[in-house]
Amino acid sequence: MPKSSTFHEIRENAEIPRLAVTTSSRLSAMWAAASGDFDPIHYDNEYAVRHKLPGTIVNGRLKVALLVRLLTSFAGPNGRLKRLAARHQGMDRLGEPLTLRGVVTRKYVEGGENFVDLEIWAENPKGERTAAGSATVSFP
Amino acid sequence: MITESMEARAGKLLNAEAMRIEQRMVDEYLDATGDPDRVWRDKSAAREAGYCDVPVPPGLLTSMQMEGGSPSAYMPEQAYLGGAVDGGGEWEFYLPVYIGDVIFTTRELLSVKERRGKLGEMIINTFNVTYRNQRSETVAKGRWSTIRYTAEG
Repeated sequence: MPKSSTFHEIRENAEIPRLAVTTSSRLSAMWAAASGDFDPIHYDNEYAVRHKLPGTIVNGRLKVALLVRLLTSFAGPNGRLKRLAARHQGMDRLGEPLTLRGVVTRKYVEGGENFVDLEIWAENPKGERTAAGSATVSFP
Repeated sequence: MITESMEARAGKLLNAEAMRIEQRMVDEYLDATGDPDRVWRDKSAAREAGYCDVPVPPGLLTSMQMEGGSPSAYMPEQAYLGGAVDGGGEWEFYLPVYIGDVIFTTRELLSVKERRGKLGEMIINTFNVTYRNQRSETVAKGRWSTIRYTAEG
């Protein structure tokens, strides 16, 4: 794993290391097992189309979980994810690459604790944001 | 689309669940998210990182199994709509959760609203979720939405 940044090293407006994920029906099945969400829109194409969708789509909570991974990786072992918000703005087709990204928006000390706020998002191959929001991470 | 019986449920408890965090759940979560971080797997790495034991990745709390599954099961009055997609949400994490902890989750229906969008007429349900451990400490809180829409069954 790459070495995580210390609070001192973090700069506002800097992008954090991206997380690239290849989505697939295997990933969908693994997430169903992990999350208990077996909605067929995530693995049955015909069912998904019947439900007005363009085809099977990536589970929204899987995107949230991948954003959490992006942030805990950025936080490193001693950092802590304090808050995460993400609104789904578009659907990701299963089989398409997905990139999770984040940019530091604010670095500050409050109550003696070090905090970093970030803008976070999930991006499809066209560069469109299919989920977007914000997060706060604390650092020692 | 919104009926009186749907509106009447707003502000009320939808369901409450208790779930013991098992190693298997964490393993499946880490496999699905591809997370290689040793902190979630190794006691010495976890202790070096300031935890008292191997913690659970916070994202595990956001998976619906922690809330007793899809809210659809607890809202039969919306079953006729057929379609459902996740709208997203917001979570705050206060305390670490460890394997073996028992997490008590309460899910309250905060609001029910109508909207028109790409999927046609939609109902947006917003939920408040509170996660407490076996010591009654609030470990996390969440607020998220699900979008129900009419679709063939």
